[in-house]
Amino acid sequence: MDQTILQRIASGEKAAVQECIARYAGLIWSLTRRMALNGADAEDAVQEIFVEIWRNAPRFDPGVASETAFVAMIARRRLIDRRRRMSRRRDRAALEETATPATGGGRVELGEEASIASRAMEELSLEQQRVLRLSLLQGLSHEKIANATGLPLGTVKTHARRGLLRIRELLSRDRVSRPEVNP
Amino acid sequence: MNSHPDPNLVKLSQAERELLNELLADRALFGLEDEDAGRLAALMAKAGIEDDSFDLAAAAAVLSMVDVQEHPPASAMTRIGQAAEQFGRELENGRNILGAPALRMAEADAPYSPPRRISSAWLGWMAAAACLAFAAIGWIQIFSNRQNPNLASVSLASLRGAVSASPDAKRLAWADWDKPEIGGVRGDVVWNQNDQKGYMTFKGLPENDPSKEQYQLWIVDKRGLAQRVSGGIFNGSGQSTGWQGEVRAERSGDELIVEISPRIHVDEPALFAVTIEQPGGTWVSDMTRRVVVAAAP
Repeated sequence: MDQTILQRIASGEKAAVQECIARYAGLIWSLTRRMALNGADAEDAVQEIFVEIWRNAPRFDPGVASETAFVAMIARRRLIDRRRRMSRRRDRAALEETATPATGGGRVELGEEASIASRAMEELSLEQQRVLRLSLLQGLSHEKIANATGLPLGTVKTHARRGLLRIRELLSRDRVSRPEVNP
Repeated sequence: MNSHPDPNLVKLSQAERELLNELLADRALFGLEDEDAGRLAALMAKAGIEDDSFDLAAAAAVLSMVDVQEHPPASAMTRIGQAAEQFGRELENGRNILGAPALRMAEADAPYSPPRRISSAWLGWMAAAACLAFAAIGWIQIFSNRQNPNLASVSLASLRGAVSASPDAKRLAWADWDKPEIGGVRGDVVWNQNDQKGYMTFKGLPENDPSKEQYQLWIVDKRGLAQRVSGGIFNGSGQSTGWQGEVRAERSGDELIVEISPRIHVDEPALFAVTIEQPGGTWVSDMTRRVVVAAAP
């Protein structure tokens, strides 16, 4: 089977770095913007995320996760770290207005793991789904989710943890043969 | 990358396993405050595990929700391109992922590149990088002890004393790791986060056979073992054997002093840990040959 982009980077193939950018720039930029980073902060973050992905390329194991999920995992870790270091006001409405679909070949197919996660989300109560969306997609803290939903802080934590555990459980159960094939 | 349940979890009590899962979930969902990050790092060190499964689940869930992918603006693409150029040069030079022990690596199943002897070109690069990285501490001008012959003549005990005297320095005592291969080693770590510099002292650390094995320091930040950074390799004798990534060490009687010199910036350390590795060290340690740990409170 052909090597994935990250496996090629890990083996020292310079051209694969450019392919990595072409393939994942849209996804990473979208994740960054959804975590409410704007302007120079967003550009700093995206640059930092790509370097982190390239440096961690040898860690990627196609038997454990798809390349897209690995890239998203690295991106989220960096974004969470960055967000925790910053105290910025978030303007969700502005973000929604500025979102523009990617054109050309920049859109990543999200793959089997996203489908499994989507099915797992559907199993959760509407309240749990809302808590997870606010956490995962908008990057809100426990406290802000509690304020936004009117739920007690303890309930927010429980919903978020149990929801993630359920997704993790289904992913573990449904993990199928890897690696993902690059388009 | 590890997402499988680990038999090492039996080393934890039921309450500890529940806490571990809570902290892993919180890390993946919200990130952790320093105190919780330290607790997580300590639990993972005790169990000897790494676990990306919660982070992967969170990533998969996010992917299921991302229905629109925006294209980065030209200014962002320019910056990514600049980073790619730099990284490409490092690839061409055989550095970085192919050789740098400072790469944040974790799992035993990741590919491993054999260590290489230091070339003169690499020595020059290291010296230049070290010269830029070190800062003045107290009355001693801390430049690269590889490059500056005057500093090379300053004893590590003096250099350690200068770091230790800094009000920003932290001091952490060594303790036996879970099931250590060598028990009873004592001493401490002094670390200055701002200057990214520190020193380890050991008492009771036996001399190793450098042709068979070497000691390696790992620096773990609040994100846990999966994000550990190599702090350098060294010998119990204090003598250098010339491997890339070796740091300066001095032995006097039963006491060994070793510098800590990570080549990339380290976030606030939650844990320092020493393992025994193959000659030249590794950036994919399975951390099975354990010696000591020092955890931040």
